[in-house]
Amino acid sequence: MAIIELKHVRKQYDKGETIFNDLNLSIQEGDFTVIVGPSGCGKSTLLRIMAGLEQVSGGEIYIADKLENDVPAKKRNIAMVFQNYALYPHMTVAKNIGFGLKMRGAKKAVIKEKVQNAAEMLDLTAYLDKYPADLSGGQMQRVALGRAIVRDSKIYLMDEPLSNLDAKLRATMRVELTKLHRQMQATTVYVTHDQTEAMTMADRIIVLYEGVIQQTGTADEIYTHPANTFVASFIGIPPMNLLQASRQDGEFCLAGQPLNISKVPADQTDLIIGLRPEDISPTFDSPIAMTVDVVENMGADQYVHGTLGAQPIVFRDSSHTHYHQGQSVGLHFNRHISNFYDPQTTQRLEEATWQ
Amino acid sequence: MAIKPNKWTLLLFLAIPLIPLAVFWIFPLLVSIWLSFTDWDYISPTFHYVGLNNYTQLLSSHDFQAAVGHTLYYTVFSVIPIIVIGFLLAVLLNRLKYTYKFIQSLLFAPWVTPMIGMAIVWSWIFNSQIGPLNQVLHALHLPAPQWLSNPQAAMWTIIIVTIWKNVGWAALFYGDAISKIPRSLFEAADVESLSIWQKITHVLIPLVSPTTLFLFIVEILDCLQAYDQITVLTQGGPAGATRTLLYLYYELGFKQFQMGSATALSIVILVVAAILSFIAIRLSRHHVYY
Amino acid sequence: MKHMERIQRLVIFTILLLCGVLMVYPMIWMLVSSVKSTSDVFSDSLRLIPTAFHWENFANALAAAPFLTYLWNSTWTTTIIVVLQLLFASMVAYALTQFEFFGRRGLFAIILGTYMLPSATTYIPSYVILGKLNLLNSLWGLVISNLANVFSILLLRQAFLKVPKEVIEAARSDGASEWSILWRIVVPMNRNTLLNAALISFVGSFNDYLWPSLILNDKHNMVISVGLNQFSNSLGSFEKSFPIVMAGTALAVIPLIVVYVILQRYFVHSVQTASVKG
Repeated sequence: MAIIELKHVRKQYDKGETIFNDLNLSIQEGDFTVIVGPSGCGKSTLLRIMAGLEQVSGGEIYIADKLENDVPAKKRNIAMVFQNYALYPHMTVAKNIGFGLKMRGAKKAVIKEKVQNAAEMLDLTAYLDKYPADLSGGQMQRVALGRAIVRDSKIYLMDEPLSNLDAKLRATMRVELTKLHRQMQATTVYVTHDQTEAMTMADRIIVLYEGVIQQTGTADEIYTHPANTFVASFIGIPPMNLLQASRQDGEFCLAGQPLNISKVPADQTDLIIGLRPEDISPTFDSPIAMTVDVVENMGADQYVHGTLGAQPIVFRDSSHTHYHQGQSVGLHFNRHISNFYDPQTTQRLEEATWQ
Repeated sequence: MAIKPNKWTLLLFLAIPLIPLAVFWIFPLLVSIWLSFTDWDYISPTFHYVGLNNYTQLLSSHDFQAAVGHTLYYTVFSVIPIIVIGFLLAVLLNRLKYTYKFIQSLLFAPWVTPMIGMAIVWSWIFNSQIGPLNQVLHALHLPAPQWLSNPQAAMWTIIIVTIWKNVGWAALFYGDAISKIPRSLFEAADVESLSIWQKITHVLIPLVSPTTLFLFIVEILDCLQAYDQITVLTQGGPAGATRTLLYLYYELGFKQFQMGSATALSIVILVVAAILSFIAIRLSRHHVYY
Repeated sequence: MKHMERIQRLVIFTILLLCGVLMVYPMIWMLVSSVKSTSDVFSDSLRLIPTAFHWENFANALAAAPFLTYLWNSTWTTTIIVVLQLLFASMVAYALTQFEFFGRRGLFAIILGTYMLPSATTYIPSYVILGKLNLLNSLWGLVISNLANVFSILLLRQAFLKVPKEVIEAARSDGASEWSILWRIVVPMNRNTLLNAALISFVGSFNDYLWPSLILNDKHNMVISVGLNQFSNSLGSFEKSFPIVMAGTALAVIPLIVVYVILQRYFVHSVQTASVKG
């Protein structure tokens, strides 16, 4: 069941700058939904619209099937976690966590109990009497989470909550957040620019770019079948290879070699082949060969960068073969996954497949 | 992100708090402008519109012209020493370490004291019989004027008291501004082997220029409104020698009850204050470095 | 090199100490003279230690004018003025920084303009208004005509602008009303600025003279500045009344000196942070 629904939402600032024109999305109850996109794509604005912190210029916002366009933030039963924690500096951790309950008129004993429970869940019991200034970044983040948790709200909104933490702590917190979500079963909408966070935590991912939703789906769907070249290059490290191929004598060719692609619309003269680095492997007997340029050693495997004709290409190799610059390496393409894109529209050609 | 509040919230936050501002500042200002075109005398219930009469009479009156001169003299010779001495004190103060706070608190103390009370004390310091000032001057074989009865000297008593009251205050602002200048700038000046004098003129003065601008505006406004020290020390005398625009306003309005002329004068003071602030801000565009 | 620096610092310290002593000399001279006998004053007014302490000067001053009433009047009016000024200024500053409404820029321009406005411009109409309200020669008249403090509004506005917007938004989504956000979040976060504004406003109100002198003329309704000047005028500048005048003046000045000595470090900081930029 959709718990949040945005229909034909338009957001325009007074100066005329348009963020969204006609945006539609629905968030399923209980899901951990991640909205991911590069900075400036409008993802934070989208979240703030759901929270009621920002007014829309047009369209409808439904929360639990009620139209809530004009309901202010304090009346929406939504808890929000902010990027820079937004803790109240003059309150102790306990007061910070309990403030939302107090403002909603909860009894002292109830507040105390709920704060205690949240603190136990987040491992903050020892810090309840400390002030935010005495806490580390990770602890402040947990207080911010605690403040959201105690609200027993049906919906949690999180705006890049991990971006101020160092890489190691971020990895730990990702796991903790996933566990927390499993425990609470509450609808969570999580905004990030970090595709790793999206891939690891999300039940569903919404990829947003320039105010337009590019694709919605599970991590698997988005990774294996990106809907367009933007998603293809945004999700995955290193990004998907996008190789231009054009028709020669009715057959799509790469580096002069025919590729055997079928079900391509007849009027398509060019197309882009999407290949994940792990779907390319080195081989001795291929007529398609790349020239090695740089090798990145990642420990378990290595990324081999180079050029195929004039086009950059990278593949992932888990053998410990030694490559050197200028070396020519024959390539074999995994033909189980078909991703072909129209260079004009950048959209995926759904029908086209490897033969 | 600012939100658009509902009208009751807005009313709560603005209506009540702004009533005093409207009733005792904005509305009186408008009434003053209106009164300045009338010949109202406070007592009689009727009045006439006299057009610009109050202004033309005022501007051509000897008292007014003299008061303009006195105000200018007083303001220039108070504001400049306050700013220059305040700056020098702050520069020297910046060299101290452990005694910084102690000296600073001595210099700043006059600002906290009531002007009325301290002007009374100063009137006795200037006393030619028992006042310590003239005793010191005598001992040093310097001319010791009759401070409060000599027209020339009387203005200087006002100026001295004004400087005394405000110079530590100015030093405080400069001290804060100087302490915020990054050390690296002075080190850069050392590397370029500037002399102390060059450091002051090329590094310090430009960098504290926002403070200088602020002090100029505030001190000028303060001098235009100086009253307490004048009423205690000289009451505008002797022979009107210390009658500034504001003191003349007080006499016109609250001694002679010429409300029309008095309000006209108050509008003139307002315009002068506005023009001087405006000039200072305009000049600052070229000479102030933020 | 080290040696030179130390000598230089000593010279600077000496110069500044002299300046500092010069600054507090009028206060010291006042205190010393207030316990001198008339003959002491005439024989050597520079003398810093009186030959005998004449505490009766204070009793005589208190008998000549109701200084304790004056001080009490000043204290309670100033306290109410400062509290209400800050209350109102906080509300306006909050509206200016957190609300979007028609005329916000205009309102700010008016407030900024009022800051430059010489208060003399408002005296005559304000006097008439107080007369109409029947509040002339009344301390409540003094209080209500002093409730607007534009300087505090500007100071608080500047401080409130620095409150991270996420904190306000967090409070909003925590369910706090704007009123609660102001008093539970924004004001406690800026308590130092409020203290600064309070100290500056306290000194200004307590020492204010011209406006109170225009509207108060009954002895029992006078504040200390007005009462003191009247007392000093009534005794005239006859040398023999000098110690009593100094005793009376000391009664008016000592409270401020005491407050200053206790709160000295707050005062310095208050004033330093008080340069309002438009």
